[in-house]
Order: sequence, then C-alpha cells, then structure tokens
Amino acid sequence: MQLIIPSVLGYEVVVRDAVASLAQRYGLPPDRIEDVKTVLCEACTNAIEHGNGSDPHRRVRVSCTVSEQSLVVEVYDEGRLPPTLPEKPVKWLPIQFPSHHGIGLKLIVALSDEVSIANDPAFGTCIRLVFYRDPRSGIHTS
Amino acid sequence: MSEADGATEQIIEMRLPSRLGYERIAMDTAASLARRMGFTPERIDALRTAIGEAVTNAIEHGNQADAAMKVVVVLTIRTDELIISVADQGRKVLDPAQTFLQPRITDAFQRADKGGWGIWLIRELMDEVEFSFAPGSGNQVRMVVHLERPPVIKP
Repeated sequence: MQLIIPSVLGYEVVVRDAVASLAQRYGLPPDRIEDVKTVLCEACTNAIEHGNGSDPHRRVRVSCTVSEQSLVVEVYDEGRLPPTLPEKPVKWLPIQFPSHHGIGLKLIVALSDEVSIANDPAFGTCIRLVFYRDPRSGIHTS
Repeated sequence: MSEADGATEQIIEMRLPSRLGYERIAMDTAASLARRMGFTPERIDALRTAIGEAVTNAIEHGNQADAAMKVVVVLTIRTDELIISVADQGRKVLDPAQTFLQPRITDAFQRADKGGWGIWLIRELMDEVEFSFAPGSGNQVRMVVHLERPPVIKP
C-alpha cells in the first residue's frame, strides 16, 4: 500500500489513520497500534516540515509492506539531508524548556522495533520503520 | 495544486493491492480525512459505504482479485467538496449499461447472489457520480460529496 500526501501540516493525521487501519487488520495489538500512530505522526511531520520545508508542491510518500514477521513503513520526503538517528536504547535527558529539539526522532527510535534512514539524490530521504508482529520479539532480554 | 477557480485544492493518492480487506483501509482513510474537513457523521457513513463499494468492485471485478494489480484512490480536497476517484487496471471492462441498473429488492430475494447493489448505492449516496471506461487503462468512478459547512481545516 502506498500513500502520497502534500507537505501540509494536518495531512500527517490522515496517514496515521490509514496506517493504523492497516496495522489493526494486520493484527498488531492495540498498544502497539498506538506506537505506530505516534511514530507515523512524528515521521510524517518531520518529512513535511524538515524534509520538504512545508512546500505544498513537494510530496511525502509512505509505503507499507506486510509480511509474516513485520509491518514495514517507509516514509520518503524530497529533502537532501538525512538526520542522524539516536541509538537504542534511547537516552532521555532533561530538556531545557522550551526546546524540544530531537524529541521526535527519539520517540520514533524508542517506539519502533527497527529504524534506519537513507538518502538518495533521486528520491530524497527515506526513514524505514519496522514493527514486529509478535510483541514479545520487541523485548530484548540480553 | 491548481488555482483554476481561485480555490486551492490538495490531493492525496492511495495505491492499494487488489486484495479484499484493503477496501476497509480506503474507507478508514477517507473517513479520517472527511472528519477533518468538517463533514457530518451521516455524510461520513455514506462516504464510507460508497468508497467501500467502489474499491471492492475495482478489486473483485476490474482487477479480478489479482493482488499484483493496483487500485488507485485519489482524494481531491477542496474548500467546498471532496472528490474521490477510484480506478482499477481494467482486466475486466465494466459494461456501461451496468452503471444504470436499478436493482429491485423483490428480484434479489429470488437470487442466490445478493450482490449487484454497489453501483446503485454509490449513485444514491454521493452528490455526483461519473463512470468512465477505457480498455487498457481501466475503469474509473469519480464521486463528489459537497461540504455543507465551512471546513474545519483548510486544504
């Protein structure tokens, strides 16, 4: 499934609801669907605001694939500079109010099972988000 | 974005595999959008039914349930209306006569197959409906719902 939206704030919630609908039918448990929704909102908002500079003529493309093991969501923007991802486990540090810089990416990394990012001159930046079907596989005991 | 009549519009495009179940995702996505545009719950229900029927037709009939074939749903958001276009790849071309059938409930009782209400429902529920067919390029239905109230979020 693919979704293409304009870079206008507000449309990220339509993507969020579309992917949540897919995740629900894919069989993810309700608490994981909440994670998917938060992550999608953050990733799409980043793509709209940072990747595409809120230019409504630029598109954000979201591609979803489901397999036996996982739901994979790729969010593409037309930007040039991929951000640096924080590492798992995310270190939460006290933030000086009112700066919320970087909190979106931390949420994305903390709530997804796998996150990677790539940049291609032809296609822009892509953030790839993986959600495991079996919630137990998300807990690392080592 | 076109500004032909001075009004702005925005476009959302969805590409779905031709597998039953994906019509539900199209319904949920359109409902999510319509809610934010300020449509009433009754109109949103009508929209869900119409888009569900259109996508199911595209999956089952137009694309003959071949999962590799795509159903393309384009949602055009304008300040005063929402336009939904559903297109398939036309493995089977829809007979234009089918788009004007008036099914009768008494006939349906006699038939084992209770289907055949989709296009009639779409025509009943949407403000404007237009079918187009082109061998090779697929079947397309364009549905328009007018917004009676000012939108909550501007496109």
